[in-house]
Parts: sequence; structure tokens; C-alpha cells
Amino acid sequence: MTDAFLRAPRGLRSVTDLPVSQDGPPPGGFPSVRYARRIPNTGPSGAVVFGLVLLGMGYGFHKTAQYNKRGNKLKEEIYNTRMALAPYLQAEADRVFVQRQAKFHAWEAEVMKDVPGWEVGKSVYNTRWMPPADPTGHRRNFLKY
Amino acid sequence: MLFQQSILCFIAGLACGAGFLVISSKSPVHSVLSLIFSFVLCSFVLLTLEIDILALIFLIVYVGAIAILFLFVVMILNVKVAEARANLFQYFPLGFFLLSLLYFDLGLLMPASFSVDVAHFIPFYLEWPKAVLSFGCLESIGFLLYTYFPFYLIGAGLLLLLAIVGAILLTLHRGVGVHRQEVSFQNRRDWVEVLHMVQ
Amino acid sequence: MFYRIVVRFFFFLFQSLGLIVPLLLAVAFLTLAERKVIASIQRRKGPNVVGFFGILQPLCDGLKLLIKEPVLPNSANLVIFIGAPILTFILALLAWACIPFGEGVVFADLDLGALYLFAVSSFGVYGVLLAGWSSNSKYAFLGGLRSAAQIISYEVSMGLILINVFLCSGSLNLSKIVISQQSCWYLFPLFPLLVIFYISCLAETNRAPFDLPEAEAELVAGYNVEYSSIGFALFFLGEYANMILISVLCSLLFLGGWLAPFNLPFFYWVPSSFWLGVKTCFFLYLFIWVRAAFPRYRYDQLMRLGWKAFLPLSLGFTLLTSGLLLSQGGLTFPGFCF
Repeated sequence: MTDAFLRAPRGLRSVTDLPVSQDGPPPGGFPSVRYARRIPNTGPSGAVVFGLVLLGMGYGFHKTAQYNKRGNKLKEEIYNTRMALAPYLQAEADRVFVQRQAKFHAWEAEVMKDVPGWEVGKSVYNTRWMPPADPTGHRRNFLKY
Repeated sequence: MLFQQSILCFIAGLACGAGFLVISSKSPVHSVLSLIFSFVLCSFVLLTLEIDILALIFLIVYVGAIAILFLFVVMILNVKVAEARANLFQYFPLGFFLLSLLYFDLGLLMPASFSVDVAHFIPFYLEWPKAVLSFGCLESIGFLLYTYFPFYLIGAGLLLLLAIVGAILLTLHRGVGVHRQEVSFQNRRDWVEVLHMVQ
Repeated sequence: MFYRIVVRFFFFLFQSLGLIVPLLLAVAFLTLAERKVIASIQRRKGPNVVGFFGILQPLCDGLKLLIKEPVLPNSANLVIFIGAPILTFILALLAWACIPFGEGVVFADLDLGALYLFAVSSFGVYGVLLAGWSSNSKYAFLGGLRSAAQIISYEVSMGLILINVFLCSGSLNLSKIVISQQSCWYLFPLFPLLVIFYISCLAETNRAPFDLPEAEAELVAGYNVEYSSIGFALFFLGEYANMILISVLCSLLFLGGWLAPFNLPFFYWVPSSFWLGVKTCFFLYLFIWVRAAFPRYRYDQLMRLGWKAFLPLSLGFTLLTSGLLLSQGGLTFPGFCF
């Protein structure tokens, strides 16, 4: 939008006849600007501010510690219920595992039927029972699977 | 499972390529950038293995600190690579021997895992006592490192202390004409005492 | 099967756009807000010609930058030269993936969200460094080196301050950090750390009073002196997006994120992202205010502040936090959060 379009009065014949528009101070001049330093010396002293901040920090740590303690108690309750239920859940999982292991042993017997002296399902551990290994070798988050 | 394995192979292949670029780039800055790329790919490999904390630590420490150090050195010191293309073939027998060791080590294991029929894995044995507290990766590391193996942590800290103090001692030299800035003195300076009206 | 893939793809697309488009709008209006606020502090009016009180100014700025001719230096490494602003902008957008705007309103609820943010900001040094080096100009190179050294110096104290927050909250998940501030915002226990963190954020984003590498661009040099048009626009956008990201991080970690100040039933009708927005705006206003009010730090003063003042302070405060929490039994065990 040029000036000629925006500011032109009706019947203007040339841009050179536009009224002059200058950016200038308002009538009576600008009000004077305060440039002197006026840094107030009032208000709380350093020790008071320090003390207030320390009080706030104390309050904050107290509330946070209380909240965390409550959360710890709730977590402990959940862990305790899970540990109490673990034998029953383990029994169910063992039942399912035994079925699947039977299928796996059947497949293993079929694959290794021509190999002499192969005992299907023989444990590689000689002194104790170890739980069957995780084939991926790295499962940590057991509840996800 | 196959999808995960193929992604792993693809990323690992790219990382090998990036490693090759590191040693074969003409410009040292390109070498360091390829090194950064290979660090990032290693971090992705760790992500496919679900070790999230190590992946992020790779990015923060290797890419975010160590490679920046290399890049600073290479950029500032304007390291020039010696163009010795003709002599490269003298390393061929040794390189071939080491590479064949690596290949026969991996090449016997990988085809076996690719040919396993998916339906016949050893069934997963869920141990509920272990599953009760399912920690993530970071919590597991923190739990062990700060309670049962604290001396490894302290030892690592001592190594870092040695590195920092050693680097400072090696490069510290009190210059004669250098004005030592004492910030507390500068802050204590009060304009009332320093400025005077002359007339 | 194919239908599921298509639906998932469009869902992903709409989520990403819903995150990126408002962010770009926010960045654009932040540039205008900065100019207006600095103008008000300096007793003048900012841009007020273009739209209604200057609201279309960022549009015109963006348009001007887009239609300018991109000048590529003669002996610069073109791949890195063009790649550096792209890298900066990508990282600035990438970090927004793990920011929660409400309970469950997050693109990717990473369990290590805060560490992911830290990794992305560590990566962001490369944009600056590569831009400075690939411009093939000594001044740009020095500016880039200085800026990179400044960023990595202040990242260390930022990391230590983050450790304090993790000690108090018990998790690195940003949603869990916000939820664990229900009882008390971390502004109260960790108030000095908020101050140090905020100042480190100013140094991290190369904002005043730590903008010596950037201010040189106004005078002679700086890492983006050789960039014009879209390269400069990407750097600019990346810097402001980083500013907004770090303000959001400050409000998530210390000011209670999307939690309302008081637990009044009246506040149930106010969407939680509103509170996050208000707190972020407060920190952004503080960014702009500090730029207008304080003189610039000299480079050695800046480095001294980062290594000799903030690092020992944040390290000592970690000891204090862990001691205070341990003595009151307030250290969390891992697992869920309540």
C-alpha cells in the first residue's frame, strides 16, 4: 500500500501534490525522560532474604520427603502383595511351562531321532537345578512378556 | 523377531561402513564425522537390545563430549593426513588374518540363529519372584553400583580426578604479563570510594 | 493388516503435526514478542506497522528470508555447510517428543525422558561447530568454537542440577517428575538450583548476557555470518525453538509443569496445558527481560562462571539434597509413582 493510495485526498492529480506528512514530536514537545539513578535502598536486608529462602527450602524438603515416604509405603505394600501371591502365580506359570516344554521335547526328539546317545531334555547342569535359560539372553522386564 | 534381527544387521552394517569411512576419508574432519555417525549407530544397536540407558549414555558421553573433543583438536590443529596411498597394501596380510578370525567367529554363530524355526523356541520360563520387582535398566545399574559395588564407582571417580588434575597440571603455566582477574575484588569495588569529583 | 498400518501412519502424522505446527507458530510469535518487549523496556514501540499491532511481522520476516538468494561461499564444504542448520533445526524439533503437556498427553512417554533431552542438547553443539568450521572463514570458525565451548561448559552444571531433581522425584520420566511435584513444587526445596539452572539455560542457548559468540554476528563475525536466507532462518528458528524447549523444561522440572498452583475444584475446568503455557511464558519473558537489562559477559568471565562457580555449587547442592532427603527417609525406591 503506497502513500499515494492510503493518504491521497479525492481528486489528487499527481503524487507530488500529496500533503507533507512528517513524523515529529507532539505539540508542546515530549515529556522529559528521567535518566537519574534511583536505586532504592529499602526492603529486606540480605540476611532476611537468606533466612526466607532457607525457610522455603526447609518447607520444600519436608514436603518432598513426606511425599516420597508415603509413596515408598504404598510401593512396599504392592511389592508385599505381589510377593505373597508369587507362589500361586508361579504354580500356574509352571503348569503352562510344563505343557510347552513337553511339546518342545517332542520336537527335539523328532529332530534328534537319528543321533545315537542323545537324551531328550537332559539338563546341562550336573550339580543343581537351574531355571531354563532365556533364548534371547537378556530379558529384564519379565512382566512385559 | 526376524524384523528385529534384520534391523540390527542393517544398522550394524551401516556402522561397519561408517568405520571404514573413518579410516579411509581424505579429510580428518570427515573422519571424525564418520566416527560420530558410527557412535550414533552403535547407540541404535544398543536400543535394539533394549539397553536404553547405555544408548543415551553413548549419545551424551561419546557423541556429546568425546567426539567434540576430537573435532576441536582436528579443526583447530589443522591436522593434515599423510597421503601414503601406495604403502597401504603392506598391511593386507595382517588385516586379512584378523578379519578372517572375526568372520569365522561370527560366521559360525549367525547362520544358526537365522535358521531356527520360530515356533520351536525353548519356552520362556517366567520366574515370579524375579518379576515382582521389575526394574528398568537404569534402576538396575544404580541399585547394584551404589550398594553392592561402590568401589567401582569410587575407582572410576578417582580415575576421572586423576585425568582432570593431570590435564590441568600439564597445561598450567603462570604467564608473566597476564593480569589475573580477581572477581571478588572487582565485585567489592564501590563507586563511592573509587570516583572522586575533581573540581 | 494393511489397514492397521495405514491408520497407524496417519495417527503418527497427525500427532507429529499437532506438535510441530503449534511449535513453529510459537517460535514465529516469540520473535515478535521479543522485539515488542525489548522495545517496551527501551521506551519505544516495537514493530507495529505490518499487521494489527505488528502481528504479521514474523510472517513478513519469514517471507523475506525465504525469497532471499542463498549465498554459498566458494571454498566452503557444501554438504556440511547446508547440513549444519538442518541438523540444528531437526534437533530442536526432535527434543519435543518427550515433553508432557498434561497427564498422559505426550508423544513418547520415555522412561528416560529427561536424559533423552540432555542427549539431544548435547548433540546440538554440532550444528554450531560444523556451521562455524564449514563457512571457511576464520571469524565464523572462532565464533563457532567459542559458542561450542560455552555450551558444553554449561551443560555440565545443568546435568548436575538435573540429578538433584531426579533425587527428589525418583524417576527420569518427565510425567512422573511433574506428578511427584503434587505436594510441593521443586521451586521450594531447590530454589537456588532453579536460579543456577535458569542462568545455565541462558548460556546454553547463547542468549544474553552470554551471547558473545552470537553478538559478534551483529558486529563482525559469529558462527552464522556466512549464512543467508533459509540457512539463517533455520538457525534462527532452531534457536528460538531451543529457547521455548528449555523454558518448558524449567517449568516441568521446577515449577510443577501442568499442575495448577492450588488444588481448587474450580481449576478442574482449566486444561492442564494452560498452566504449562503460563509458566513457560513466564520463563520466556524472563529470557527477553534479561536480554534487555544486562550487559554482556566477556568470554573468560563466562567460562569462569560455568566451571568455577556453577559446577562446584551444583555439585555441593547434590550432596545437600541427598543428605537432607536421606535423613528424612525421603529417597524413593524404584518402581511406580504415586
